[in-house]
Amino acid sequence: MNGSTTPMSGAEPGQSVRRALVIATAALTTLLASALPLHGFGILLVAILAGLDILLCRATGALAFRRASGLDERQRRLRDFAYRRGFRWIGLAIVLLYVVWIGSDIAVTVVSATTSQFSIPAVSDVDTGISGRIVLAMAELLLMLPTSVIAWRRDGGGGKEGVDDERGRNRHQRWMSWLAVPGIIAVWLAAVVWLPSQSAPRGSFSASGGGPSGTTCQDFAGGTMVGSEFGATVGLRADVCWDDTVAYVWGNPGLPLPASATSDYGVPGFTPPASWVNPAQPMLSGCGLDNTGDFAAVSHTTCTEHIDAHGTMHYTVSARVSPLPFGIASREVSIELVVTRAGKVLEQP
Amino acid sequence: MNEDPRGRRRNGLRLFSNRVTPVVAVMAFLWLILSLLVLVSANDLLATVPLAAYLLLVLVTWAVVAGIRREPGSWLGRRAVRRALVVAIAADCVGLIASSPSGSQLGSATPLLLIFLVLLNIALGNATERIASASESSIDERQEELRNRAHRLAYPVFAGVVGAVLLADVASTPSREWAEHVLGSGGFFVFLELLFVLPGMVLAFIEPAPPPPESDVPARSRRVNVQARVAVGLVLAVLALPLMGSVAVVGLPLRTSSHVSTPQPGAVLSGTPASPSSPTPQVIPLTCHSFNAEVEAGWGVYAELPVSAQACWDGHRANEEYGMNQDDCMMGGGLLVAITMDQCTRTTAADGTLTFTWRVKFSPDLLPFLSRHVTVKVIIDKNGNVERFP
Repeated sequence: MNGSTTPMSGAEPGQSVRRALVIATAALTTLLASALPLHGFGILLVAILAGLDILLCRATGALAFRRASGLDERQRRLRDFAYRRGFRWIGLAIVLLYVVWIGSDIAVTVVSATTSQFSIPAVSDVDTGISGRIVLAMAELLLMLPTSVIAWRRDGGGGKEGVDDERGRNRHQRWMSWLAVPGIIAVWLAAVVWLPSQSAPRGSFSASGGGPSGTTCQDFAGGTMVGSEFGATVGLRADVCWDDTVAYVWGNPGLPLPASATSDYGVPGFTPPASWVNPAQPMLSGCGLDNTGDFAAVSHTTCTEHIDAHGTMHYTVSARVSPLPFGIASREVSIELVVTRAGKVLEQP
Repeated sequence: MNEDPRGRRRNGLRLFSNRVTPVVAVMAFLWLILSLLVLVSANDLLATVPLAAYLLLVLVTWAVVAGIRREPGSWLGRRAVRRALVVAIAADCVGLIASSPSGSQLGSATPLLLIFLVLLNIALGNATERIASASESSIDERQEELRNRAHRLAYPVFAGVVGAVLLADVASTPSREWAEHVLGSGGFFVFLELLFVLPGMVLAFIEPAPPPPESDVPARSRRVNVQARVAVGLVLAVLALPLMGSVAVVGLPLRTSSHVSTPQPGAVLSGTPASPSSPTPQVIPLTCHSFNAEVEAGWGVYAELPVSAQACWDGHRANEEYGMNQDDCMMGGGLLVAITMDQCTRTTAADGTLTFTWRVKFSPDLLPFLSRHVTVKVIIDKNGNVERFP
């Protein structure tokens, strides 16, 4: 059994081409399952992956998805064997993808630590469940592993023998299959633009913070997901302090503290610098740190605070989610946290 | 003798791989026993005897079940039995998910369900002759074809289950919460079960009924069937004992032990005036007693309420020193029994009588529809007379 590049027939890709397709699919799936930032271009990755899947299906004659009635004995055996091997590969593939995710997550954290003042973990404070890219990587594995096994084998070509060869219909089906790529993009675009946004609760790994003496403080986190797992998440994290006269966000120098919070600093006549009273604590009250945009870009993030006459704090995070370049089909997202001066939460994401 | 060293090594590896499961099982058993001995204090060692004995029974059962070789006409080879095993495994998996809390914490019934699952898997392996995971050299062409078909049928089932969880993750916020619950500790075990055993389950379901035994087989079959019957008995015992223990928690009388003692001198020796009208305060030393008790229900599957308190009295009123507070009502423990607190109060009546009431509900984890209420009461009057304990 040699001659690994021998094609099954003149029009069908040979084993080397099929194996190249399998390797490319595995590489893209690995990239999709990693923690490396996609900066809103995840859908491009998915479209390329879908294209590779179509090529793989064509190269193998979509053997893994065909009914037994249209197969000869050899094809039926090969298909069943591919499912057995594929089943055995799933476990190993999941473990490998998990290792890749952990490794890339550490790498992203290390890089962010060296390029910014604070070490910002790649894991968000907002619990968005299984991220869309992992969902798609898992779906890719489950859908395509048997086909990949078939494509990898020397006898895994399309093999038209035993199949009704109606050339016109096959050509028609071949072009129809390519419609899946724009179809996926259209469904994704519709989801990001029209699907109702979903709320995301605080994650279990959220930090616990502090605040000025004489106040009670609590960390809040949450977010809003646009396009479910396949769009973007606008997140909020804030360390809110209150002292029965006013509630405010602490740890974000961009949001000045109310006068009552700075007046009683313990030393009469001494006005401390702002960095003493309200030091930058991005792990507690960072603005925009919990945005995730694997499939759509998140831009124009603003965090504003308004304290009304009753001392109630209204903290608002706004951002623009753009699935396409140049702000086309973009969507404004706004989430609000409202806490009274007594610490009662009136609204949170 | 011209033995190939590589062949010997391969044979050795194969021999090792054939013995991996027993070795792992024995190691797990020893680890469990050692953990019990290390974690449990000398006083509670007696309480661990039933659990250790049960684990030993599980190990013996596993050895007997694993020793059965399926023969033509044997009990395990019957189609109905194989399908019943598949249904039992599926039910166990559902139970694992349902009984597990969110997150990585194990549910109280999880260890037991895992033990059942291991036993069922061993039985399934014997029933299917482990065709699904056998090496290619050890099976014939028919078996190869059968297991490939089983994998092909199992694949969409596995993909469907995983796909349903992934779909729940993207569908909505409540469904995402459900998916996170499913992906907790129980879900993790079920995922492993599906990943490694689902093809075997499908194979057990689709494999045709075995041919009738040949004429020279009956003698051996009878022996095998006797062993199978013993195995069935042991499996039933393994399954029934925890259920019987759960019923015993509710049905058997409570076991109570109590001990009242005088604390060491110098512990509490303050005083109060005997009479407010007295011109010179007359100090009467407080008298204190320690109250230790344990109320226990069940054996093996059990729940216990420990009381360790101290009260003092001076002729006017009795006072609690320690051990009769809300925190002390959290001290109940046990195995496979949920303890729900109904009441935890401490009152002092006008006549100076101190009353501590701790009322709980015992509910077995395996039979949650059964329950019994247990009340522990400590009543001490102003002169230190113990009116009720426990």
